[in-house]
Amino acid sequence: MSHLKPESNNPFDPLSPAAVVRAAADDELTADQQRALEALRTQDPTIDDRIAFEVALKQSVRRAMVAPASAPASLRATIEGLFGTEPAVVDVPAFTRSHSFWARRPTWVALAASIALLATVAVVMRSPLGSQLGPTVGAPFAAQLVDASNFIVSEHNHCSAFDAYFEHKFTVRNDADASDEVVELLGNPPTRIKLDQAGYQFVGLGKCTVPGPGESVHMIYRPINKTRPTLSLFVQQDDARPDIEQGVRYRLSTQVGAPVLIWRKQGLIYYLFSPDTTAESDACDLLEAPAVEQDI
Amino acid sequence: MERSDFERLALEQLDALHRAAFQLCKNHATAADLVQDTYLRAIRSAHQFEDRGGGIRPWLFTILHNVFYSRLQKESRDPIFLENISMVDTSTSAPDDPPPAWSVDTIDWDHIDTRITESLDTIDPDTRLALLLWGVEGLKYREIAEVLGVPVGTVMSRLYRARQQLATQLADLPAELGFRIRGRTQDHESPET
Repeated sequence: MSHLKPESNNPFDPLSPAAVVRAAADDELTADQQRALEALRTQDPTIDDRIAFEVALKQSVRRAMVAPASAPASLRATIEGLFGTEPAVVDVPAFTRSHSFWARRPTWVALAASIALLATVAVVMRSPLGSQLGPTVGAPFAAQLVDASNFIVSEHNHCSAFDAYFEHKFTVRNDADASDEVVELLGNPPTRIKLDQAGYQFVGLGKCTVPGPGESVHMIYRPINKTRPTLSLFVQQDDARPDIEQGVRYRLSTQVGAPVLIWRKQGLIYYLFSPDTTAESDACDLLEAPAVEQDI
Repeated sequence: MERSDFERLALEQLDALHRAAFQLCKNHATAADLVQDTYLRAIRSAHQFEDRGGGIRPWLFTILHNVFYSRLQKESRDPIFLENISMVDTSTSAPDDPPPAWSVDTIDWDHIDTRITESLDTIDPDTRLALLLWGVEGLKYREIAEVLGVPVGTVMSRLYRARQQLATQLADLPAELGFRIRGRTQDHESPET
């Protein structure tokens, strides 16, 4: 059996010829790629030239980026001076990317949203509508969605400030990387990342912890027309929970007016939120969210 | 680790950190400032350093990267600041054709270096840093991922796109320099002179 996949032109397939060539040039071949390279050599007489080109390109990048080769003498003197005077301390400002959502103080908005959501669910579950929901949206599920929605409104508000928290959390800043990241973290590709046609520009993706089982990510979008509010899309691994129906878009109302919209699709659960309901509708269309709506 | 050993190892990385700082901000004065801030934080948190096999270098690069982004947000709390960072549209993934089989002996690399230098200026800071760590500092994909705080796959795809972009900048060189690309279809070959 050949280890090579000559038909593949997927840039992220590690066994595609181009990926094997790059890994060979970088001295980062895996065992599978090593076998693929040997197979490739028997089929393509130019393969070593291709590797040589990649190596040469890397050397050219090195030559282009190596300057400035040395730090200025004045900077060296300053740093040496720091070593002599600056004491090592135990407690330092955190500058790693890890950031605990739970360590932060909840905002009044989040608190208000939480109360509103809990009240909504309490009323709904006691109402005829609650009983109509029956086995489809049971109490534990509704409670879990309230938790999730509360989290989503709070995170959306925090991240829309684009402050230090945004900088720490959103480690992926272009939409092409975002799609890879979703696959890597959640195991399935999202319906789409770009929402330009809905008037929203992708700004970043970061890991987050939407309540409930399964890894999740948060993608945030900035309006192309800057007078509109930001929009957030959270995507969570689908743990095959029995309560949420395929083909239904759930609406969970919030105190800020617009609802959190929730649906399940192809191994993922989507949570969409923006204070602008028109933006939500437009994004839902692009994301191919189910047309059938159900209020919770 | 003794403080004197830490200082010696950290100081050995000054040139590399200064290069990286310059590639992030493209300004000599700001680069020096970033480096100073990086060392200050490194000294204060020296007790947190753990050698995971790559020495002190990836740890210092990680601090530099974080200092850079902390500063960026401090200096511009307006979300518009994101637009001020030099970024190219890397959203489109071209099919992954193998790199051209140029005969490297016949290529005018001085000319190519100039093209690449120009092209690098249009790449976003994070990808520039990834290229530097990969091309100049010789870090492995795994180490670059640690520095940037992203998965290894993301590093590989960023490097892939950066290489694609650089290759695109060089696409017309065969015709310009008059050499032939081997192993390509006829319509990709430049006429021999």
